Amino acid sequence: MVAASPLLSVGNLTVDYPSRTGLIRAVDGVSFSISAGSVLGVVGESGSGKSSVGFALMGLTDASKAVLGGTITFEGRDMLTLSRSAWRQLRGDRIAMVFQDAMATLNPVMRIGDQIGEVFRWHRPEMSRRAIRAACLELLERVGIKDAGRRIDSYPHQLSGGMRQRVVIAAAIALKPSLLIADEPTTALDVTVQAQILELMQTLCREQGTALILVSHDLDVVSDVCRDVVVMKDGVVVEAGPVDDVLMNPQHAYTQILLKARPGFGSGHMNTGAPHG
Amino acid sequence: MTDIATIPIGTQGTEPAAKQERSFLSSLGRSAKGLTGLFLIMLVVACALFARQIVPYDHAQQVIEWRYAPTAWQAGGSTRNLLGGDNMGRDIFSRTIMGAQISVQVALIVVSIALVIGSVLGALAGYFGGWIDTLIMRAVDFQLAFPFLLLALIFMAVLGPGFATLVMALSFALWINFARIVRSETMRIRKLDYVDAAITMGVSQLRIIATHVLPNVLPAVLVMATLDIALVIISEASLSFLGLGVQPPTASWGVMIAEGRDFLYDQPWIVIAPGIAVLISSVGINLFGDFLRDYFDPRLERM
Repeated sequence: MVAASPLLSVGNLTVDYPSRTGLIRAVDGVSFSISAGSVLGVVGESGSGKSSVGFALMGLTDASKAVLGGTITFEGRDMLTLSRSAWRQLRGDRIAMVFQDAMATLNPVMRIGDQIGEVFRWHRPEMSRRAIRAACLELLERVGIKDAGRRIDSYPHQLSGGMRQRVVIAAAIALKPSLLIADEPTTALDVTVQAQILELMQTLCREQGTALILVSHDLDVVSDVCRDVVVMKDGVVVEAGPVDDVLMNPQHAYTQILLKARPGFGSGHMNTGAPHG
Repeated sequence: MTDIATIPIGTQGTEPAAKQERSFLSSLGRSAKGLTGLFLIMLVVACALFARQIVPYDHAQQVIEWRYAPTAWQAGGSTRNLLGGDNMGRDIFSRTIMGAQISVQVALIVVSIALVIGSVLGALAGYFGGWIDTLIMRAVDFQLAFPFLLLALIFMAVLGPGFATLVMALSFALWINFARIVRSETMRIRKLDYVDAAITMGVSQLRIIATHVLPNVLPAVLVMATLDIALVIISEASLSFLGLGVQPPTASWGVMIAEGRDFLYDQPWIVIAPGIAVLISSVGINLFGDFLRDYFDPRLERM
């Protein structure tokens, strides 16, 4: 990893949502950076602005007419000054996102093969239908879906929750993006499937050299998966640094509260269950 | 790297097998509703297509002895005039069959025009909101405030009565139904995660509307379209009844009901025959529409 300059750096990012009484600041001066191929966790309670950061990176704040401030530099380009179409070129191709609820993320009336294929149709218009189908099949196999040849023509409701999330991941990694943002990707899944999905995402990211931003409220997950972590509260970063330092030895009062709030999280457990990486 | 490759990803032994996918035809074969609807529609469409071959007489042919001729099963009736003769001595059976032509044409053309225009405008209004929404929905409001018959009268006054004017007036009246239903569905759908997901994939807005929004609106639109086809058949009858639609001696169900109204006691079948025809078409269309809705919505269990 010859990352002289980071893959993505966010500087003093602000996100303001319009409301009847004026702008509401959801993210207030957040800065962090991530180097190519690494894994960053963003943790915080509900309403801490962690999801807004992810949305801002994906341009999903357009619809709510949110106002973005600060800088988002991705692969050396300032995204906030990019034209809409240039930004759209990046989305799906260089940056991709995995959402919390895979059932809602998949269009119920499109076959899953078509939904994964959409990324190719849009960003690789030169690919033929057959090539796209072959690529989708390969992706389904890579994300561990058995019997991919049959599943490719299934509708989302015919798959289980874990398989749906695998499909969503397949679509997200289809073009080998350099950055994957996962917003609570395992929250809607049960614990055993959760572990499989996390492992899958880690494996795929490592294989492709994709950097991963994991937005989560689950400290266990973050401490297992991430190298660095950013702790957010009320739209502000309260603490940031390597996972071991931040979660083992929290400096900020809020991080300490967050750690205490976790059920069955003792210091002993943390010592033995340090990140396997 | 090797140990990464051997990590077993994907142990989904407990995950349920996919439900068996059924083709359109085999689901149709299992649906009594769909088959009945299709049969009735085919009956009406066949009458419309082969009207010239089916009818024993020309729809405008007048024979003085046929005036108020009884139906074939009534006393004094004969198979010469299956459904009897009308006040002008024309064969009611022939006129009813010919009327199918007009009704089917008007219904299909009007609903197609209204569906396309209404759905596109409704989707744009619902998806983009803002001034686009305001513009389109105020046009809808304006039109809702306008009585339909007055609107039809204006069309007739400006363009003169006739088939084309009838189609235009009805399409103009109906597109708002589609615009409103598509708009509200679009507003719901555009907030769903899969639209956000498509945005994160870099899909353009118009393509999102075309591939993610409209297909999900389809069930609602189909139900609307079936209701509207029945409505158009009845509206065509109303307008023709008022003399604003198809002109006599062309046989349309509306014209027949309008003319037969005065002769109910002499020969009720002038009205009953086209009435039954309207009934058969609307029931057929509604049954088939119901079946289509069930079929196109994959979330519903296929029966």
